[in-house]
Amino acid sequence: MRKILNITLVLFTVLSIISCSDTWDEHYHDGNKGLSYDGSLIDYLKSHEELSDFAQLVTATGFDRELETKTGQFFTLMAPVNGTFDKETYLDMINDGRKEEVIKSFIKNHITRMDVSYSPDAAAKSIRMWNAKIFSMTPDAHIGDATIISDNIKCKNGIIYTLDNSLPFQPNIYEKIEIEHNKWLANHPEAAEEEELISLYTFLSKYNQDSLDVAHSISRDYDENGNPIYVDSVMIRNNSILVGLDAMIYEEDSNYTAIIPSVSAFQERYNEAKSYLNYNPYIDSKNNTNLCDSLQKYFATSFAMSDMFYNMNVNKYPQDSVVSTTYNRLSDWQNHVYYNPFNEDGIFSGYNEKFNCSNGTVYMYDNYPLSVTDQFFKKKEYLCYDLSNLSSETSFTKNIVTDYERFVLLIQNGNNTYTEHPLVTIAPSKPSVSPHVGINMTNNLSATYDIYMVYSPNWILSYPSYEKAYETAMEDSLAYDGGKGDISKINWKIPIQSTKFRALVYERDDAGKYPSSSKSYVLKPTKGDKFETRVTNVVDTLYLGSYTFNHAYYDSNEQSQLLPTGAVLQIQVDVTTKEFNNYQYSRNLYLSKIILVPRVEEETESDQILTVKQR
Amino acid sequence: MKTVYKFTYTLAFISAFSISAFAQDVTDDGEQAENVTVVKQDKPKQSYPTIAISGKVVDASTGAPLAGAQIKSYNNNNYTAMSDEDGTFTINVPEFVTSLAVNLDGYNLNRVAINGRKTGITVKLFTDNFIDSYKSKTTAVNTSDAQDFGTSTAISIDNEIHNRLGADVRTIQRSAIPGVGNSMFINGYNSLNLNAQPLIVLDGVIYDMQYDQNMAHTGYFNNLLSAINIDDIEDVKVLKNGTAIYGAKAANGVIVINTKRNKSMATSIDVNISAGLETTPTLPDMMGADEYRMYVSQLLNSTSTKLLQFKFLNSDPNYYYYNMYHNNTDWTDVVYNEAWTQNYGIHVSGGDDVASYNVSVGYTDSQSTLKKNDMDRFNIRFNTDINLIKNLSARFDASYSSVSRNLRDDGLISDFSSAPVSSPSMLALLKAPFLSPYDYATNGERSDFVSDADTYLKEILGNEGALANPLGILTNGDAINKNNFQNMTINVAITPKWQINKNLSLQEHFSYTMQSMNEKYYTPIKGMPDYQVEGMGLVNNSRRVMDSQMNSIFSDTRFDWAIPLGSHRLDVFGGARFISDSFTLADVKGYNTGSDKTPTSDNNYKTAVGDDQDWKSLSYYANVDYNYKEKYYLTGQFSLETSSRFGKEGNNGIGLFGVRWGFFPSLQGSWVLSNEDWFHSNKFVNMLKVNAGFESVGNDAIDNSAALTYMSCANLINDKVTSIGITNIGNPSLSWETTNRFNVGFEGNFFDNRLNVRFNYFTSKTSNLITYSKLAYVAGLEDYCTNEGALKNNGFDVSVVSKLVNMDKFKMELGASLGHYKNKLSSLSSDVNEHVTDLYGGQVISRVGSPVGLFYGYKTDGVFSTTAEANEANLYIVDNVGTKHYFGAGDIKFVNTNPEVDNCIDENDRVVIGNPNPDVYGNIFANFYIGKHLSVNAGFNYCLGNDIYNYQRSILERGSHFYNQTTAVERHWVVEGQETDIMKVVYSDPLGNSRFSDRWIEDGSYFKLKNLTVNYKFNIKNEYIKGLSVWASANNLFTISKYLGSDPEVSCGNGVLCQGIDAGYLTSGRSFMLGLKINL
Repeated sequence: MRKILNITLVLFTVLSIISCSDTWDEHYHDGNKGLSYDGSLIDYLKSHEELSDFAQLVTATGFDRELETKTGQFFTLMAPVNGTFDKETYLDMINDGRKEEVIKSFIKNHITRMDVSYSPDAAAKSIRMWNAKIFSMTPDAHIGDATIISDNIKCKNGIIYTLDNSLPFQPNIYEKIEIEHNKWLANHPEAAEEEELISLYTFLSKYNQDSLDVAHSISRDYDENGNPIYVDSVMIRNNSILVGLDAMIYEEDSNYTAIIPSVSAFQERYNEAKSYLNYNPYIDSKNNTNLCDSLQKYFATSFAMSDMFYNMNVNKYPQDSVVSTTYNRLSDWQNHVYYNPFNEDGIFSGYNEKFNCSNGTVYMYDNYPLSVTDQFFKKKEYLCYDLSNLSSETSFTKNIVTDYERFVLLIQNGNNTYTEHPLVTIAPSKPSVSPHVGINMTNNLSATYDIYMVYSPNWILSYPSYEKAYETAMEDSLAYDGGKGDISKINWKIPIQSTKFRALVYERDDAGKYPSSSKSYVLKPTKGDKFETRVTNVVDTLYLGSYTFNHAYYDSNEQSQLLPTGAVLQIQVDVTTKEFNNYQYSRNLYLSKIILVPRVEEETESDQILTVKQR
Repeated sequence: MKTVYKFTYTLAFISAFSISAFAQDVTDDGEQAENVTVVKQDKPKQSYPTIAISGKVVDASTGAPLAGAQIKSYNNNNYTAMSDEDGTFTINVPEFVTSLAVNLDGYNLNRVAINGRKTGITVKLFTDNFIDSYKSKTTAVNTSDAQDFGTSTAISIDNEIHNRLGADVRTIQRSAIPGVGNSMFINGYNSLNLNAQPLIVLDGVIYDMQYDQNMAHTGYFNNLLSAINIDDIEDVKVLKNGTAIYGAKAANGVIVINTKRNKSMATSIDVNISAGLETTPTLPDMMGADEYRMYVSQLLNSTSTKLLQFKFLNSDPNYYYYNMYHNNTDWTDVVYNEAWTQNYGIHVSGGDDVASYNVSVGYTDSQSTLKKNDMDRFNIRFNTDINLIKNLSARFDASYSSVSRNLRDDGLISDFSSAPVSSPSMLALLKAPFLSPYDYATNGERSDFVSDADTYLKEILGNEGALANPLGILTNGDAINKNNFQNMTINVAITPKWQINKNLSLQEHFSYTMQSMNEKYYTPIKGMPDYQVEGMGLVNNSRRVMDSQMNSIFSDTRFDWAIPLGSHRLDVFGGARFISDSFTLADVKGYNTGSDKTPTSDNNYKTAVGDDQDWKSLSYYANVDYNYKEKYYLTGQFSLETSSRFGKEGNNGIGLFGVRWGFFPSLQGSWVLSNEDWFHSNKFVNMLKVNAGFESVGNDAIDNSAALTYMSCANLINDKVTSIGITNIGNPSLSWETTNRFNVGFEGNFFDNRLNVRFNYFTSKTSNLITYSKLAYVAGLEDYCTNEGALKNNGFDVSVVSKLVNMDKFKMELGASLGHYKNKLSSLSSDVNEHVTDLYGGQVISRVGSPVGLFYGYKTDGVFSTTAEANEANLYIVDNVGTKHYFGAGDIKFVNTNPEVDNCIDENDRVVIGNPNPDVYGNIFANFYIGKHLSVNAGFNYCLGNDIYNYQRSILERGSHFYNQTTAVERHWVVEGQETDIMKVVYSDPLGNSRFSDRWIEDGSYFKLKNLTVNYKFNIKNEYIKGLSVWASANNLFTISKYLGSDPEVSCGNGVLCQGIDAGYLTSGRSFMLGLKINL
């Protein structure tokens, strides 16, 4: 029976020749199956009267070509029906040569490369428009605030939705800054005439360079100077300032919060910052440039911009604290943390206006919510353990052992943790003379600081003779308590002595010269004319007085050829031979660090400001 | 081991001689093989009472009397007569003669049953245009055969087996690269893991076809049959049963090929010239540049890119890159071309009564439609028959064949994503049509420089998305030391034969064959992307050289003994056969050749592996053909065989001389009913023969060293330490697979011999299947070879040939054949009920109680049109970390086969989704003879009811990568409510929409006009030219099939489980040949 069936099957197949070839065509040549509209997107726009305004703008911007089938691209079009946007304004803009602006803010705001399918049963989804702006499509037939009139119209090269409203263009933070700037400029026409307009936008836009990506560009020929002529220049949109700040507010890549002051507040803060950046004109003469001026302007703007941007993708708990994008590049990141920013006295309160941008939130202020000490006028520390902070010029550093003894003092805290105190021993090369040491003051601003010295008393290791003290300490530590380990039972044979010293600030004059010792600034001790170290604490701090630097050396360091060290703080041990021989005073000094604390008020609260742990 | 063979071999000689010593008193002629030249006729010493029988010989079409026809008693040359001018004859034959054989030059042989008649026998002879209905000798074993390949356009004989013996042998084209040929299966599948293709016996020599030899080029198989020029072949016989004398090699059936020998003393020179053209094959319809760009534009959404503008999507014609990305390249034009084939052959034969010869020289140059896969072949064959001294003759044959080719990868590798696509044929489909094969110069104009791998997706995918430039592979990979293949075959055979007396002879057939193969593989630096190689990192190209050589020694010592005893007749032959093969292989691989101009491997990284194997087998065999009155036939056979591949222990077979011997018997019987006296001669039934038989045969295609435990070298710790580790745990009781087969059938000629019907039914069981059993975890190896499991096959084949029209000026012959088999796996190993094999991204299940090769995957039910529909179904997958991902609108609606368990679509939802085994297959032919000069032959092939896993289409319609897709993907799901069968496109297919499912299983039934030939024989007879004919032939003129791939005749390898998988290998186009035959 089976055989008969099979034979019948053969015959049947032979007879059904004609039907067979259809399978191929049905499978391979049915590409238009499922179309709602048998035409291109532009055909659809042009053939529907209610979309004629949109079609007109698309054509006027030359975007009609993109929507033809032959470009081979697929788009979803969110087409607002007539009367939902101001067509004439856009047409005027196009006529005024602002076509790109219309494309960006209107056309590309209604086109996406995504294939968007609407279903009332699906969850809300984000739609990324061609200009990178994101709108949400919700199950209740809304895209942004617009309602979908007709959905899922599948054309040959895309999908069309018609909306009862146009989608508003959401600027990103950078664009918002630009808009605010232009708004301000409209109100201050005289400012446009200024040779150099100080504003956040003009500053940022200066660094807004579309640089040539040489690796991806194609050069065909060379000009007479041998420079390549590019036939295809691949440009990279880059803003070095913002890239350096890790705040690419001109891209829709992260969610930012920005503090944007008004243009006049920015100018005010800029001018204020300039006074802190009074560079030594010697720098110009040395390098034969106009460096001081540009450094002043650059850093003044940077200072004014400091802590303006916050990447909210990084700040996971913004209610508690936020760190600005600045922290990424600076080691002193603690200086850029703001606690409880949304509280009444927080940095994100007291704003004039809050604005939601496509890539975050902008708080706009009439005045800065950040003080100069928040932004740039910060405490400075010079760790003496780091020998580069000690001046290598012999005129500042004399009669001390050249191979400084450096060690780290571990101080046990109550909770079984240790605090490290790096120390450097300043000891005389010969017992008969007093040593003096210079500490480089780098990166200081032209402002008033209170100067503090952190040190340890001489009993940490001291003895009349350095070697002797060391030996004794060793012997004692080996012998104490029969080697059983109770440190309190050590019989310290070291005499407890203070050290007397004087402190002077040498600052370069406008010619770059250091003054003679008699013309240097002498920090007055609190009593008498010499400072005297205290011997009660393992680590102690001594207030040396305040000093106003004439010049800023911000961004300088010892190695920098461009910016030399500006000022030196010299500590001169001043112990007479008699005092020394009587074991009255020690000539040794155990220096930890020098701290410059910004002085913002007339009255200093020196001891309260310091948070050095004392024993 | 060796000593055992020497010993047994010596024994074979001794026993052969000793048997012959008993056979001296036997008389009568005793020619066994038809190709023996010396036919001696002597009067019988014994005389029997005779009767006179008279009749008339006439032409079947005109009824005109035929004079000069030879009439003799069937299969007995002792009683002959000749017809007179009026066609009448009278012949005296002994009483036991039941049928007469009548033949005449230009006519077919006719066998006429006497049925007690003495007069009035009319014998109608059909002209020899028609296929023979009778053979000059009958045995109990049925064979099918084909001969006369004069107008064949095929490169190798397996194509002709396909065309002519389609129901006897199920043949499936491996690839249409010239000469790669066909996989062949007889009597279903008689193995699961071993070779299941028939034994090839060429001029009496058993050939090892190296079926499991891996090649360096994907999609290529070194078909050793293609070394033989079809023009040299006299005939091909297919033995489906009664093959026990081939013992442990015969389970898959036997194909016997004989080459031409000289037949007459007149010198004859035949010149054959033919040439032709093949058109490019049908390929799936791929997207054009615009459609593809739109597809990419949509697929980009599902990548993580945030880019809003891309070079290739910029539609501004003034844009610098516009031209570069706005081509419309049909890459198939780059890769395919029309292919020319030319054939030249000359045969010279002649000789005298001392020596005769047949010398042929042939040259074939066959291009491939897939560029750079061309082949040329040069062959010489020298067959001689020499009478040395009285009673001692010898055959001396020598042949040489050299095949050389270009090669490139073709089709798809099994794990598509594991390596860059290097096959031009696949690249032609996958490559972005908007790209150009040539570089664009900096002035924006197209240059003549072949471009490198594409980079247009580099911003999005990095290097991973890069596709090679097929033109780069074709041109930069082209050189004799880059992608090249050589195969050389040398055979020398000498066959001395001692005719001890008229009925007894002894011969030794010694043959030496050398197969030497050299294959060079090279991927160019320019044109291919860099790719990762494990342990090597990123490489920019690779090179591989494979050299192999196989030396085969074959010795067959046998006696032939014919014993006529009046009404009884006994033909006996037997002997010993010894085969020794040695195979060496060196396979060297290197990377980073540095430059395409110096493709040498003396670089920093090389791996070299090799093989050095010997295998031997020895068998004793005997065959007894008995018949009584040419009515009752009985054939008994046996062989006793041992092989170096068998384990020395175990229970299977017989243990002798320290080795295991397989015993393979066969008994076949048949009865010619029509020769019975009680059978009344009539017009309707001219001949009817029924037959039945049983045989037990084996399959010894086991891995040469599977029975042995051995170690191999391995590199450890970044190649710093060379170690030796155990590689195989041998199974000392490993044995051959045994197939027991029972067959029954009939053959009949009806309606005045106008209709010939043959039918054969078989049922077989193969036991002791070689399977791979799992080893315990502590073994450190995965599995070992063992004999477990069994499978059953049954089926039939039927062929009908009808001389439908037989007029003087117009003759028409119609024939059809139909084959059918059904197999069932009856057991696997003791602890396993099913086994799933991963092949080409799909799964093939071997399940007890089911046919082998079933496709096992997911069932689908279209595409979710709406979110509501998807939400209602609530189907999901669970990823590696346990998260559920739900199928949504636009995803494939997989059938959840276990809703009572969960809604998760996972492995448990897989079911059998397809069966690659056909219901029926075969061929149909029609031959027309118009006048005396013109003939037209049409041959059709068909196969019905088989499923194909279209692996190629599963890549081309995956919708999840940036490769060009077929036009069907244009209708993929995009918006809510869209009714379509193609799911939405999503990069990297996170939900597995394109997994192995019934979407890729297609009906592989086809009906094909395989060949149409017109032959015109000129009526020229002069001093110089004795014959001249011109022929024209067309192949593959049309195919009727629902299959959506190039051609439903596909398989991805020689193995049983590889059948019905379309890996995109080259398929045939239409071809047209013109030929000329001159006889000088």
